Amino acid sequence: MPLISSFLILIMLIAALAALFFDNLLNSIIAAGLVSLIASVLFYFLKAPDVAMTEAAIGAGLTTAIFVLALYKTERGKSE
Amino acid sequence: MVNLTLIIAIPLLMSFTMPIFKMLNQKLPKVIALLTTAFNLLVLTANFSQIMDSAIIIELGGWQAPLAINLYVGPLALLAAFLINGSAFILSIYNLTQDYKFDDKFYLLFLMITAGASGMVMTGDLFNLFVFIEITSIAAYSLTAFAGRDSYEASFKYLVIGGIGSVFMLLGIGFTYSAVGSLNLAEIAASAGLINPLLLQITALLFLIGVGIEAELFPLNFWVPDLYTEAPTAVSGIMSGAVSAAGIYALARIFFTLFPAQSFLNYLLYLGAITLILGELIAYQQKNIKRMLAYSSLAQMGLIVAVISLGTEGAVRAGLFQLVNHSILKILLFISAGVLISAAGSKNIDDLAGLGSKKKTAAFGFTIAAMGILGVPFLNGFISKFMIISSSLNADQFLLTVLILLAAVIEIAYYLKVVQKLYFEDLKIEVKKTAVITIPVVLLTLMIFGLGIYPQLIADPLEKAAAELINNGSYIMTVLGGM
Amino acid sequence: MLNFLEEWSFFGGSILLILIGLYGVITRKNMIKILISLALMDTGVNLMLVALGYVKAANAPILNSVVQTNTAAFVDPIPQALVLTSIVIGTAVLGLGLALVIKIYDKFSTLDISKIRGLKW
Repeated sequence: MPLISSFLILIMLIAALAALFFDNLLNSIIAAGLVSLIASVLFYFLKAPDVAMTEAAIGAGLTTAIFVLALYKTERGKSE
Repeated sequence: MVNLTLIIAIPLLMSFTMPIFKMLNQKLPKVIALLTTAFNLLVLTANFSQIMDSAIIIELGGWQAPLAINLYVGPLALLAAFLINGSAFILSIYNLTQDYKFDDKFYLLFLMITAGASGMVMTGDLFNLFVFIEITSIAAYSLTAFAGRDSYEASFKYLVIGGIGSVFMLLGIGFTYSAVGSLNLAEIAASAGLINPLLLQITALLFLIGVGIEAELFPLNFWVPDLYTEAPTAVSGIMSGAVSAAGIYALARIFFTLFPAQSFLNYLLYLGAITLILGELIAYQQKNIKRMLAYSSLAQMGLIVAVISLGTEGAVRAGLFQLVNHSILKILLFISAGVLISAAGSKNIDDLAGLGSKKKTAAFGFTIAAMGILGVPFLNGFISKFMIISSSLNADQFLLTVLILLAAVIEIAYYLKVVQKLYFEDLKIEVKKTAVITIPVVLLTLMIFGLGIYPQLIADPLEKAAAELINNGSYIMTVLGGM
Repeated sequence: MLNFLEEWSFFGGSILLILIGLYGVITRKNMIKILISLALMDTGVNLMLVALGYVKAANAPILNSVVQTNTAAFVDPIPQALVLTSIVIGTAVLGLGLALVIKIYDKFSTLDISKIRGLKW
């Protein structure tokens, strides 16, 4: 169990770095969504199921959605 | 006595019903904003004498103090709440003559900023303080963007720096909670001595970053000039008059009541002095009048923080008096500068030449307020400057006194330059039609002269507020009872 | 050893996440990336708060018929309540920021903050 959470945290940090260094914005946004998703699993490990639900719905779901929406209203929308 | 929670509740209620009022009548939002702020002032006045006697504590939800979120309204909070709601009231009068594109949304956010800033000064709970800071800043981010074009960028910059600040503040709250096990300000203050000194230092630094952004302290204030330059005049006014006052209040509450230690106050003293001198020097070089006012505002905030953190009772009183004066004077400066700018169609100081004979009220307001900031006798700025200098001499801070005097000299140079341009140069441009601002200018001028000639008017509240800040034992006792 | 690793990987991980976010906010030029970095910082601080309230071998702070009302067996619920508020506030700020990004893009046709005319600092 401890190794699982440590491993997840490692993946989360790699995803966070990837979100910063990807050239493609859509990939960045998906990596940031992955960070939120792993965070919500970690919240569950920390015995905070309510926070985990909120983070999964708002942090990973809604935030990613508005980022993608904003992306399509700006650069993506122009190129097509 | 009227329940003080209404000061937060009524503006919030009115703000979110604003679109309905707009549907009833196009003009209604302006009037509602004016009435709401006037109502807040009335509530504060009705409670004035009781709060001067002893602080009012309202326990929300009917639980006892350390458990429930409580509101604490002592003399200091009363003073700050008067400043915030007074600024909002005056600016609502000014707004009566203004037209905004989405006016229901503008007044929605305007009342939200009032409610948030009032909440900031009244709350007795650390996390509640954070929530109110966020309400205030989110309203401020969007209000800034109302001027269009360049204001979007100013707003974005403020949003990013404000977001970083809120993360640090939240981290500080987390550390405090894990060390003390409570979020009640009084309970944290009572057990602050038990916190591990290293953790206390880190926590204090985190709070300094989080709240310093609202209080416009030196390394964190680079967003301020952009915001004040690009935002609509009323927004610059309320940011300078109300939000920064609430920021100073939160800073004072954290560093006097929560973690009272001379070493932190010394850091604040240095930061304030640096802010003061840098602000004045940059203000001197500005060609844009609003940017000049913004840097001058920064410098004044630095002065207030530096003086308050001297930590003696006289110095705190002088700093609070300067805070009151600064709010009054800066609002007058911003609204008269706003009229002058729209008359000239340019923000450049050189283009304002000769407007003194055409826009008499605005030029008069600007001149009176500039004189007030410079500290001309019989105006309110004179007395607070005098108190500041005498208290800093009493505290044996010779260097600080020299810096304050130096800053005053630079101030004289750049304010008189504008006044001289207004009155003693020929008109070069075509004067455009502008809004009428007679009522706010008259009201503010009366206040400036009133406080200047008869400062005893505010002496009692100031003294009690200073005593409340210096002695955090009484704050703890009042909230927690005889624990 | 393993318990030690578990405990500190949460604190270390959340602090690193905050630092990565801070680095991103300062160095990235693309406005959407700046906001992504801000979101990372928010997630980091939320994780930190919940980890601060964690008690070993305790239950989730929910009362039901299975778990008896022995409060010592619960993790601290207050940080969790704070984090719920903080998540919502963070999302509101991000939404507002993205709206501003769209507006700025309409005016300047770029997402690069350094290419916008630039108010002086």
